[in-house]
Amino acid sequence: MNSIKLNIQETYIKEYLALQKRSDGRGLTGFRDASLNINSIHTADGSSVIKIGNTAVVCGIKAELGIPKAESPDVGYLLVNVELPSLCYKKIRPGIPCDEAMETTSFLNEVCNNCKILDLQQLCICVDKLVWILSCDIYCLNYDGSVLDACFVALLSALQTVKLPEVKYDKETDEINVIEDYKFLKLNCLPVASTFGVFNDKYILADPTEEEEQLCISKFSVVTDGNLLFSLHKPGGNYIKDNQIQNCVKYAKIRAKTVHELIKSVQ
Amino acid sequence: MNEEFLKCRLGFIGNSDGSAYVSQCKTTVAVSVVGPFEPKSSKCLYDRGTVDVTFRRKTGSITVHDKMLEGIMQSTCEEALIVEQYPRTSIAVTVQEMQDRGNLLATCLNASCLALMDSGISMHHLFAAISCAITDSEEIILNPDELQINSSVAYFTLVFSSSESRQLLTSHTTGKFSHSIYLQCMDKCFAATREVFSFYENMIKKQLIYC
Repeated sequence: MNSIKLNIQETYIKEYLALQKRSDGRGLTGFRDASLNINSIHTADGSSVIKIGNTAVVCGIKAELGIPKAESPDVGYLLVNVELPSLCYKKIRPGIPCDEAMETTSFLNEVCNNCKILDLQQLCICVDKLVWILSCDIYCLNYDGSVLDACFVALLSALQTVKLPEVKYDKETDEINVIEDYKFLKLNCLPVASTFGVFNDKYILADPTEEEEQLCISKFSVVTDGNLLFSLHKPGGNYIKDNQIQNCVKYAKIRAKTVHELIKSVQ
Repeated sequence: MNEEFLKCRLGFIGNSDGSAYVSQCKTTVAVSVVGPFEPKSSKCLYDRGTVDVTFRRKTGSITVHDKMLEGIMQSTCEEALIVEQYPRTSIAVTVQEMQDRGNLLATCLNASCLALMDSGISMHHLFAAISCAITDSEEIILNPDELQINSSVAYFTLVFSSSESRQLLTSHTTGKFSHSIYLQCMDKCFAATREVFSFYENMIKKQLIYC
């Protein structure tokens, strides 16, 4: 960290953290308020918009029919893609997707596969012939820290709005008949991510804003459904102490319950 | 952990500033470090050096998942190096997968630490990575093989620094698990990293005798 940044960090600690306050008025472990809107995009099969503080993320899900992989003929696809366009943040250049977008994409896909967010077998229409492909596109509209948290909420609430029609497939004639009998997807679990910024070995901040993320020495994300943990992700950076991990997990579990209530309240 | 577990050859590439060829069980990785050198002016930072980690698969191209591993390696290496000592320069670390039979991330991280040590670039601390898998019966297997990883319920890669107190640098997990089992794994992995650090020490001692 350079001297100017170090100076800013020290001032931030003295002026705010030592008084158990943050620049936006929250306590150290306070999360920002979130607002959620579902079915906002009519051309998509499922969609949601989430705003956590100033971080805004929109998720749209498109359902398509496709052919399954030969090695797994009875499961459909759930493909998540996160885009951080240059309009959302000054540090992202237009052009090829930035590293952070790719890392977030890969992380979301990994967690979705690990915790079996939805039974992919319910996306199968005819074994080895026809399955549903759910492509979930997540766009960040405003990058103000903790984008990962927002992506998870957006993805979950959008998945809950997806209605798939019943499809009849004739094996002999390859004929596809869509019956207008829509059914909701069944989700197995609701993983909620909570990001924490490690300021130094004394202070951790829950749900850091972009400004705070820049000052933090490392980031730590906990994915949990309030009970089990799905991921404790710390991609490098400075060290974190054991009791800090413990606290983070505790706050993340409480946060997961609040987010579950939020998701429930919009349905 | 037996003697045969880690094998390493330092300085196997003549033209790079530091290199390591590491095999951990059946997984093998080659790492070369070049730098500090003068980068393009767009990558130049006036107060610190930049660290560039490139991860390469056997096939040459990498996927989105590999990009995440690359990001983890990058931020772990960057934190270990004293980048402030090398302003306006760039340090390039190239990690080449030779054979992947499980624990790839841990091997890559250990290999890059050894290569950085070999290069002589100033470092704050060393780091060592250990992978462990958890079976259905909540049994913890350190350095699992491919089969054990595929049949496990959770799989962790944890990185600790070389300091006496327990400092977790990086954590990458897959699967479902409870917090208590995570703490148990941390204890076991931390103990295992001590052996990796003594391996590092022996390796460097041997290197110094040859010189």
